[in-house]
Amino acid sequence: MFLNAELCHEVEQFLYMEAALLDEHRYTEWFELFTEDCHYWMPVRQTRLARQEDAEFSQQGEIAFFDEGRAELEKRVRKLESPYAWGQSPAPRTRHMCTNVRIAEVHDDEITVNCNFLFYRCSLEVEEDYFVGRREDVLRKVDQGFRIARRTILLDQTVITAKNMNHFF
Amino acid sequence: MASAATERASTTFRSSIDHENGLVDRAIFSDQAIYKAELEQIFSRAWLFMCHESQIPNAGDFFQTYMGEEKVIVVRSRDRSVEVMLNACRHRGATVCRAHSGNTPNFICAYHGWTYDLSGNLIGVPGMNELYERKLDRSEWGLKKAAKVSSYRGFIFATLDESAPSLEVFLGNAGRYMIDNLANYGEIEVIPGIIRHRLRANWKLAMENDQDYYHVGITHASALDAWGVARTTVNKNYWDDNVGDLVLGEFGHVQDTIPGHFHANIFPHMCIFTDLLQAVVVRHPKGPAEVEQWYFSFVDKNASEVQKREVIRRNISRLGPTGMIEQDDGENWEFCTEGAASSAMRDVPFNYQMGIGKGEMDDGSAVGFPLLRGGPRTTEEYARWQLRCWAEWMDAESWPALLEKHSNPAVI
Ligand code: FES
Ligand SMILES: [Fe+2]
Repeated sequence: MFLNAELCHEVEQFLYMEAALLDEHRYTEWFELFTEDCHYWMPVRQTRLARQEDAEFSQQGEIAFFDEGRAELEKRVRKLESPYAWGQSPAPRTRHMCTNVRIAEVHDDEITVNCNFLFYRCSLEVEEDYFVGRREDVLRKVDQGFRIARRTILLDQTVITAKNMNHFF
Repeated sequence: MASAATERASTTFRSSIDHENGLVDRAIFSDQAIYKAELEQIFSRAWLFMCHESQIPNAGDFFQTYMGEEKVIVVRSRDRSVEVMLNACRHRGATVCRAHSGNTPNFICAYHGWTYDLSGNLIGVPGMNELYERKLDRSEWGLKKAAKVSSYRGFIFATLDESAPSLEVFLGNAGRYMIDNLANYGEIEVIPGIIRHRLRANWKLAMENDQDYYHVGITHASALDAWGVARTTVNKNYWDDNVGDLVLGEFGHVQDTIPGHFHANIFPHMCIFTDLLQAVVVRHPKGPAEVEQWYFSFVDKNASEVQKREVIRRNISRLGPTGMIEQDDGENWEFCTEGAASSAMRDVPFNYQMGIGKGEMDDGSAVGFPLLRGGPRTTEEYARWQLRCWAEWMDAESWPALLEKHSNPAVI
């Protein structure tokens, strides 16, 4: 597959812009980056024996941390923006980082992009959480850039050690 | 230096819980010595929910869980019976199973290679001839097992205490009714995807929250906002139309009877959500200020795809660290746990006074277990009862003593 440097650059810049929207708490604008038919999914992972790792993650249609279409995603955005969102009062300082960006596939107007992420959250005084994992995104090319059609978030933790995961990845 | 709480711990726990006046010693949520006593008096004695039969259908299937802080493996053995064994090698104590669940022909210790079969028998010892000169009696050194294992309608329980009464007696009619509410959905099975999540909170603060309808309109205001439910509507439901029956079971089991919100607790650590949700939450203690919550979601095997989808959607949207409801619970319990550790307020009790003396105890001849009828359903009686029972577990010197002395809800 031939990949041009310009496309790689555009995709990276898009992911960085998207991360900035989250860190600036501009959730509605962030939400507008998703397509009408989007799917936002974080399966549940568990520790498995060697050679049984293929069963680490729950499958589509089973229990997940997030299994959201546009309507569900929008409710989560509304919750974060509610004046009663105690978890945002005061808002934690967050930093979304994505690295190791690789374009896996280009198919018509859809680009499959893999990256690693590190999401740091610092709440109140000294509460710190790190969420680390891998993401698989399907971006769709539109006039003004890209829209996110699918996001799969594969967290490395099997036991969540943060008090909640009320933010987006 | 012994704290005031520790000194009290050595006398009686009954004095930490003033059921009549709704006052609770905050040390029970923070004191290390009390926590250690809980592991002995409660978690080493009670029948604890392990997993559901549907999770280990085949020989060699295992599910790893805890009994208090003890790691245990629940295994389907060759003869199809269920074994619950301590996940600790008999040689030097190392963990023999390192996965949450899976399938295995045996358990091999990675330190010196002692190998156990699915029933915990020691079947392999490296150097048996050369180093032990065949003098080691393998039959003496199998994995240690739970004292008793039993299951009720597919829910597997175990206890570490030989003198525990039967599971039926422990659950009582009330506890069985709580499990029935979930089991009655049909041929239920666990949906793959068990959520595991740690909080820096005392396990009892999580437990008592399950029937806390006082906090819903406040704590969960942003979720209600997002779903377009007015807070006044929520509070109206819980406060104005506020009459209900409470199930107060023996040994601390409780359940509310609010339509759409069956929240039950099998003491000490199994919460059952039915009606709106189909889930079990188990809370493994990890210290006075830490708890690991596990969420199991259930569905009727024979339900249509649409119905299954709906159950899964409801559970995902509400439960666990990403659940729009439960996102906001944990932080409160963490703050309360911090507050419980205050030394400046060591002698200032927590307030559990809502709804004291309301409702009439009905011996329950009609339903088979006692009910507190006609009182408010938004009340702290659930928690007062749980903690009164907690103190009885803590003060009892043995299972037989607890059986003899525990409070009967019908006559309180
Ligand atoms: S500790 Fe398991 S074989 Fe030595
Ligand atoms: Fe809650």
